[in-house]
Amino acid sequence: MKKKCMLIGWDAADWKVINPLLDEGLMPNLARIVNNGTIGNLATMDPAYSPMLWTSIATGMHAYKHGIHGFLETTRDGKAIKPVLSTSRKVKAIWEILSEQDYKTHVVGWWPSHPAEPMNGISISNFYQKPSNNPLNKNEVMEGCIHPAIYHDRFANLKINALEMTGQHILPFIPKADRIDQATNPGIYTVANETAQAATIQAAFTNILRHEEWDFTAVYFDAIDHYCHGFMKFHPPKQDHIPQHAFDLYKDVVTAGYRFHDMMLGRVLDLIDDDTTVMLISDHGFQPDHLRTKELPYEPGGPAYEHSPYGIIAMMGPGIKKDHIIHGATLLDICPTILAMCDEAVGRDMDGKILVDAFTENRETEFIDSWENIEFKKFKRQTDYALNSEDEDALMDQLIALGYVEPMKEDKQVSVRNNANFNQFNLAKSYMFAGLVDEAIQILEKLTSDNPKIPRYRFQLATCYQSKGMLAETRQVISTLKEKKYYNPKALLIMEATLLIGEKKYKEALEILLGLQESDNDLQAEVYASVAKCYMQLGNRTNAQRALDSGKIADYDNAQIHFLQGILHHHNEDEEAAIEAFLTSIGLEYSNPRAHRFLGACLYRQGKYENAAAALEITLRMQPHNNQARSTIIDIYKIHLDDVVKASAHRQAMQHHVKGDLIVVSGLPRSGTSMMMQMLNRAGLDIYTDKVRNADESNPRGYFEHENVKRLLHHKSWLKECDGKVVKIISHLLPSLPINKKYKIIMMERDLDEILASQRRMIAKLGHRTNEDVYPLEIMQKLAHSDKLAREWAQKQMSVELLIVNYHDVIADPFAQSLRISEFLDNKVAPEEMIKSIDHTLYRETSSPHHALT
Amino acid sequence: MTKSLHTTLISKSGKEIPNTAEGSLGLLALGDVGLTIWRKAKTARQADRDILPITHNMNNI
Repeated sequence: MKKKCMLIGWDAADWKVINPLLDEGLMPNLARIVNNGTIGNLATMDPAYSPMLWTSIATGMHAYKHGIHGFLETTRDGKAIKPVLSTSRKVKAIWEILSEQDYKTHVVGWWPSHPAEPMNGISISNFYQKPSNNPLNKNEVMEGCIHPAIYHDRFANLKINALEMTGQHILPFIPKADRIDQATNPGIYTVANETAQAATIQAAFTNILRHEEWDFTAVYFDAIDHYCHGFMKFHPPKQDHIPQHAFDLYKDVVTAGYRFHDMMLGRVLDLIDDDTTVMLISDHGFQPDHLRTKELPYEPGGPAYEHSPYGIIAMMGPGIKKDHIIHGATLLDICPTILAMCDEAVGRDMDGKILVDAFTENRETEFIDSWENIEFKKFKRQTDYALNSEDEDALMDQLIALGYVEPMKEDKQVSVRNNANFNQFNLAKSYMFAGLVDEAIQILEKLTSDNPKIPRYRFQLATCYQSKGMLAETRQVISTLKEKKYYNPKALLIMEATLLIGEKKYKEALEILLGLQESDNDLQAEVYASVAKCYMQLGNRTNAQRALDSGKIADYDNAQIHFLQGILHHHNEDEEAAIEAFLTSIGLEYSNPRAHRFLGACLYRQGKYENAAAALEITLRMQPHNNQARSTIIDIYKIHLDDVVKASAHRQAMQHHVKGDLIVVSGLPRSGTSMMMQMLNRAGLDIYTDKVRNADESNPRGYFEHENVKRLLHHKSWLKECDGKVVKIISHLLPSLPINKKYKIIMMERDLDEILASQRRMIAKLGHRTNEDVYPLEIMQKLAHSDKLAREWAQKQMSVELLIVNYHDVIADPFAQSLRISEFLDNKVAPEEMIKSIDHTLYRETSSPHHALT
Repeated sequence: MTKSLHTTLISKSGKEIPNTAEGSLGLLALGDVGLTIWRKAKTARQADRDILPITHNMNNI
């Protein structure tokens, strides 16, 4: 027997609006699900445009895979644009998969789903409920809305037009509606129109539930999103810039909209049985409080700035936990979860995960490479479709009225080109959201080059460059943006500050950020997060904490603020508080592998090894190449949990994820590292150097360094240029090396007194003063500690081979040491060549008896 | 049983009309069944229907 599952979509529904209504008992039907099922936040995606998001929900895939990249698309002949259709979807949706598996399947109103697709049931497209412009038949349903077409009249009779609505429908939304002059104010018609459309969808859906057999149904309501775009600005508490009379008129619309949806939900719940799993979701939230945007930018898709990053998920039914909260759910998880609930295979190419935490029992789920590899024969979707021009115009007008698309230009080709650019921009953002930054950069560089006057393309390009640590390129784009009038200068300043943070110029970054602290509400939390980061790097934990406290007030749901709070607590060795903060951050943004890794580290410190291992396993699922996390988890399994099997499996995985190898020459400054680099260079090895630091009196044969090494703590992408080469990395930076490469480290060892003497001489040659009369005990201790940590790190790593080479041994017997080094390097270097670089006259520092340690 | 959004509405004639499940919005929430009932009842309650007539001004869309 097939499992029964119902998926209900409420576009833009937000727990922040719902929770007070639940508390007041004003959404009793949703309360049934909340109290008897599992709920949570549902993280949205970027860009947060509904047709892209609802397709990701239906397919479990990022937009760059599913092919829906905006509200409109170019016609096949390239001469016009039209609303995006179901024919543009490149991958299979959940209803296609379940129909093929003989589930009785019905879908109502999904976006985009026109033309209605053949399935093992009834499909009604998202153009069904749209108002008709036909003055003779206001309830007309356009062609292609219903499949099978034989049901056209059945559902056309259930369509409601706004003009059928009466005062009884409006007054719950606008109690003082009689004060509105409808000739000049469209508020009443707007509410009537949206309510009529929602009621139309409800009528069609309940008709199917009552008259048809079904295993899987899906229904989509867009009214909450539209109520909010029109009226959230009037929702209590009153915003200062909203006139009192307008607030008084429209303050109840959003609440009434939610309550109406709850009434509809109640009817639906009455029509299902206890064997049905019902899942209610939204694609994003909608800011209802101090985070409401006062002014929207004039750009395509501008209304999306009003959205919030978390929608809702609420599910109830057999096998679903009761009175439970899940964390880390995203839109991409819905399709895999439904497939798992129905005991159907999940495609490995789906980007989401199964929400196993919602299930009462573990399920064995079958995985296949991809449903795309299987040809579906029972119900074939159209691949091409043309709307008639009248219908197309009416639909375009509706999208323009909602503010999602700009009005058509007189020259149609301009509109075609603008829309193509918008969709390409969305594709780039989809790649970036999926972590495929190189693909995003390729698109954005072309967009920027073809459209030099559109600053948002440049801004996104700068964001991509920044994420890859390409600081010079980022700075160049910012400089170009500064020359142009950028409509959001604050965002530009934040980016500049972030750039300075990347360059470790924390004081300069703070100068910019402190000036932005009291500015735009929607950017405040990001500003406070960056301020906290700077103070943490500068060692000012008190001010960092102040910034984080302010950030929580600005936006308590900001995952980054809680993540940084966790880091701060972790540095303060308050692991309990750190764990709490990391869990909050993960609850808000599950897909942050660093948060899971730090959580694992804190739990490890507390001796909670099983939980630590669990957190690190999640890190490794997100970042399979993260050998740092893997190294810790091997220790946990081997030493603390006595799980030899898992330890061994991870050890093998570690080897599998090691890519590339390099030779590292390391040690304390003035320990002989330059000498060793010279020896290896003389022997013909490829040296990684930018030759920025020239040879000088202290080192006449050169330093063989590279500026990139200084950035190793925060940026590691440059290491891929080092494969097969020799890199000089000072010992205290060694633990920053990623453990996804093999390293042969030649660690130079020299007496600390000699090192210090050599450093002092070098400093003096540079013209700086040193206090020769004071024994620098603190410096010595720091040097010794740093060296010890580096060696301990190196000895612990499976992908590291370490060779300690004493500086004086090389001077005293260069051939013997060169032979050792050659063997260590698998005989890639000839010892007789190496020793040719050694000039005994250059190496003169010895331990002074005056500074001998006692 | 659906829950009403407002307990009472006042018609032009001054009569109180409970907006309960039998009320218009409640009936729409019931889906196809409620729609059918409402459309039939609408004609029967013509006098109270025009609490606030909705106009459709294309210039404002």
